[in-house]
Amino acid sequence: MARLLEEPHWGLAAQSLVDGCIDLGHDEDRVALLAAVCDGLGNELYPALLRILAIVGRHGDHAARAAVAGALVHAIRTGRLPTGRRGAWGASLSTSGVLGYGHTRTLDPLEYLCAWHAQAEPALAIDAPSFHAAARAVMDLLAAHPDARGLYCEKLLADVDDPIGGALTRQTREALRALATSWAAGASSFDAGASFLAALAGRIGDDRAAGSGANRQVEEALTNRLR
Amino acid sequence: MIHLSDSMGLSAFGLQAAREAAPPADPRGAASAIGRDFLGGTTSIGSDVNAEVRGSTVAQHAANVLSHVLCGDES
Repeated sequence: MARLLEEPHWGLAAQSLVDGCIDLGHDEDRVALLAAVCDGLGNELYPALLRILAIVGRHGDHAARAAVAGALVHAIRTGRLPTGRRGAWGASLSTSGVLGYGHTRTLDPLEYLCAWHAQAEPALAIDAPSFHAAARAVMDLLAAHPDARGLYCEKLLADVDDPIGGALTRQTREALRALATSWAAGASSFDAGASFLAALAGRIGDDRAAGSGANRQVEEALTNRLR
Repeated sequence: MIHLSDSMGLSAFGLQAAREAAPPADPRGAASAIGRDFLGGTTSIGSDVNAEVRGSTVAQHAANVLSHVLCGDES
């Protein structure tokens, strides 16, 4: 099983991914690169791929973002978007990383971030500011390709309309719908991410949102934008 | 199209052996570590590919990415 370095070199990893996407001559090879990185990390470290993608989205110049976004668009079109596995209904995997058949679902990058934030065990969830920053960065990365936003939103909306899949809770699916609808309509990545947080906070109710939970973090995120 | 399975390609660069030698990761700890300071501390990511990586294979590029985040290839 793959294990992280004590202090991973995130920036160098992101630069290497960009180098590969630019150097490789064909979309098929770029998608194969994404798949090889995803497989090499393994399911437990799928969030590391999300972090690499987010770094490219946040810190990459336009050509760097466009190179990776082009690979992601081809992956969407061919049904090979790198996915990570989580427990069904947003639950985390057990410490052994093993759950029985039917208890795990694969999620694409934005779906995974949403499920990671909204998962049933708050102590293991990525917090709202980190979720918001990561989701924005992934959306900004994708936006470097003219077709990506429409294609990805179409996929997300199809996924949230598929309750049988059981990959996300009803609340998370509705919040993801808010994100996809907002983003598809032309909202900024900031506003689309905030739509997810606001929708989730509104639906979760007392157990997480009241007092110290998501509502306050959403407010902080929105306040930070105004600074 | 270059087809690349997990055991192919990566093993050629020593990563498979390193992964097998490593103790099992703690998924909770790993995810928490990845989630902290998610976008912090990174300088700009450019698009000028240097001569050293130009013309590399999918497997070589993948190994380059993985070596920066996984144990076993810190040289």
